[in-house]
Amino acid sequence: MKKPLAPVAITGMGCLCAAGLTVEACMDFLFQGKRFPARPSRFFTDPGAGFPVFEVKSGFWSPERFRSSPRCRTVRLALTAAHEALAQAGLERDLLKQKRVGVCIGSNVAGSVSNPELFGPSESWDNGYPTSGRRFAAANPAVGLAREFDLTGPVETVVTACSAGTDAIGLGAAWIRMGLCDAVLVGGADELYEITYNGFISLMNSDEGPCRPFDVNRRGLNLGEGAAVLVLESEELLRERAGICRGRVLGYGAAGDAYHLTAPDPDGQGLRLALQEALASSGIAPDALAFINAHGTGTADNDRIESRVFDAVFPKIPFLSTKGYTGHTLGAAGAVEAVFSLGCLSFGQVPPSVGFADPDPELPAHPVSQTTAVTGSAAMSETLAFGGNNAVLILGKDE
Amino acid sequence: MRIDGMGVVGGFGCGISDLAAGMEEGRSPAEFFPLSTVHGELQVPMLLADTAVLSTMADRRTLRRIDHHTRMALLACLLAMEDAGISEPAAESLGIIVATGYGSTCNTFDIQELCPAADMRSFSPIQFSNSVHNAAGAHIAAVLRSRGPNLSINQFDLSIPMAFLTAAHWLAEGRVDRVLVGGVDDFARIMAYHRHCRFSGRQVGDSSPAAAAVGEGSAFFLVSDHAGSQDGVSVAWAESGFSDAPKIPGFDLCVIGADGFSPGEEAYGRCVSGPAACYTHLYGHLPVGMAFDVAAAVLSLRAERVYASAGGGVPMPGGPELISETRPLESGQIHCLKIGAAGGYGRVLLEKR
Amino acid sequence: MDSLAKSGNETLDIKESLKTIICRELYMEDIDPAQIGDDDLLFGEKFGLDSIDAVELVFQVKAHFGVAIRDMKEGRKVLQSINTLAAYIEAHRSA
Repeated sequence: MKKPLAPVAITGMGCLCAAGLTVEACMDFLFQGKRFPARPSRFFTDPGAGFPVFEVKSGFWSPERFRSSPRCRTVRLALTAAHEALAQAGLERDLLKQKRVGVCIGSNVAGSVSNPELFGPSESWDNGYPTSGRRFAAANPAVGLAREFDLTGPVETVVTACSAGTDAIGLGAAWIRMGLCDAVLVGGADELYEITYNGFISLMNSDEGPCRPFDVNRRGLNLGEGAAVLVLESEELLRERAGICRGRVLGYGAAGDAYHLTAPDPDGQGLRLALQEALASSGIAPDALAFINAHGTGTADNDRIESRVFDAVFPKIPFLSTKGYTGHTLGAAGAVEAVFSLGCLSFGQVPPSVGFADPDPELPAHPVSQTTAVTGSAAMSETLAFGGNNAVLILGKDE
Repeated sequence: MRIDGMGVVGGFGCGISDLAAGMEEGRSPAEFFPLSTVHGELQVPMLLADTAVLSTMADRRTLRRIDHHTRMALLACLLAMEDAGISEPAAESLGIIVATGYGSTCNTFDIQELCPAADMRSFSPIQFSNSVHNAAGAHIAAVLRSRGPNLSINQFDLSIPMAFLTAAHWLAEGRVDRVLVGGVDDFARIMAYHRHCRFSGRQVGDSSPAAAAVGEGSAFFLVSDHAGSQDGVSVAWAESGFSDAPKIPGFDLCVIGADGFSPGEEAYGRCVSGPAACYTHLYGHLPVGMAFDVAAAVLSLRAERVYASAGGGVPMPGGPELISETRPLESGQIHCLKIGAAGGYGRVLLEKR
Repeated sequence: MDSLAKSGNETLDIKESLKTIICRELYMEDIDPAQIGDDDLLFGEKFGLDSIDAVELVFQVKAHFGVAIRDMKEGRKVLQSINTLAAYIEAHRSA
């Protein structure tokens, strides 16, 4: 078995999604048990077709906080989350510039097309057409953060679909452990995007109504959007500036199903390997976990596999899905839910899994359906992605 | 980390021997093909990859829905395994890291050209699945039955140094015993048009590094922890930062990623003082081109000679001095340097022990 | 496809079209449309089709015949064979 790795300090967090525009607003919202799915507002959909989404409230963007003025929504989401995280960490721009600070962000649309205004149709092809580098940078949240805050460390965009946000946090933690960076901005960002929206409908993976994770009547996911950024910091920098540690990345694991492009391995082999690695690297015993934040998208296969694996490996640990509040924020999901998990650890309770009403008799384990007190100082958050990518984080309270 | 095997496919051909032959020859293998644009059909030089040989290495059912992007990556991976002499990798101890600048099916730049006019709702499920950026990584893992960590990185032209850096971390932290790490990019129609507008007066036959044809292809490397091993080619160092590139210290050669697209040769000239070479005429302009620079460096170290650069002897304005003749290796260290079009740099140092 | 709808041998034409769609759109390059029997199980051993093929077929049926298969509960019954698919398309296609 692998040896435990050194925990990495989290000193700041920022998050925005349909549940709220700050970490505090999101956490309040989760415990109210409400949700507001709606039709996509920024692109055309068939009237009456259903398939609601969870968008970030308009007006989230505060240009006066930033020196750069990105037009891409995903970059704006990432900057907004980073602003909150850096403010909480108390890291000033001057210090960020002097230290070796990296960026590792999970995203889907960052590597795709998210700015029709900038990219334009073929008619605009001429000598003055923006070069590929400029086009890439304009839509890339990691580059957006590096430019805004004058960061000089490594910059990486992780595109492992739905587990990208989880992977970005796990990989960024290694940059601290390996001595590569003094601090790393890690997380995920994705805006609601027309291609993914229609793509998931065509895959028959979307629920025409509000999603119902782990429910017997679940029909698929709803898409959402958002961003979350966490500040990871080396022990040296933390001591040097007398910063406050607000949580820790204790473990990370990732494994592939090697099974199918869109369908998960029915036995959850990849998921089991990923959580074994996460547990081993954290040195935490399975029964010591306070709770598990499930991926819980509301698709038939995903929820079945998670329920079976939880029953087999963590029979007594409560688990929840927050997808009912936020929709599936894709590349942001792992980061958004890491922030939620840290919030729940400090509250000592988890919110109900909204959308879950009637247990599925075929599933051996069921999520919490009401606000539930939890005890313990570590929680697990997991994501199962397209292509069989499974990624798992173990997060801890600072003690 | 030691490089146990490598596989390449691109405009120069398929496999290490084709790349080596191209480096010996020195001419660009680019050919002119028609490109349809809003301004009519143009004849544009391209460096395209042929993956036909893949059908002899994997069964047709396996390859059925796999698109060109993933075929290139899969072929490079299988060639790398073959080069390393490994047929069946251990399922849980092989990591996979796929770097791509454009993303799958050239999603980033071509689909957006096609989309605004086309109905986005007309994407079929298979098309959509193949357009997700980790599709190549997922297919490779399924074919190799690898259940190790599987990462896809999309950092445009700095994806490759980040991929090598991450592979080194995985090995150092004992996550896996081996990593298949490399890059893949499709031919980008819009960049071919962009090149046409910018360099149409220049010929490709002169192998000028400042005006590489647009290319596509994939290069993968099977790497392992080299602790205890005395020979072979290894990656001694990989780094990337969002700052100006540092001055490159003493070495046999610095392989630079200049290809005529921003930033220009002078950016390389500022940090490279020693002998340099550029091989972009062989594989062309593509964001993960640095994977081929690394392949060229590995070939040179294996053969113990540094190959003449494209355009060798003809000074690039503001650029470093390009070596004009093939010569023997001395120190056994070769740097690869890429300066990012959107800022930042990436550097990989290879050495022969 | 519109011309097919008007032909006398409507069901036969639907079946031929479906076989062509399966070979072409599901990239079954090693199979000739003629090799697909009307009662062959599409998702059995013979063809090796899987869940993406199923949703792709639903998508193609909508695109070519304008007939929607609403969910996979329905889909499981409809997508069994060329015969079940053709019967469903015929019953649901607007005249």
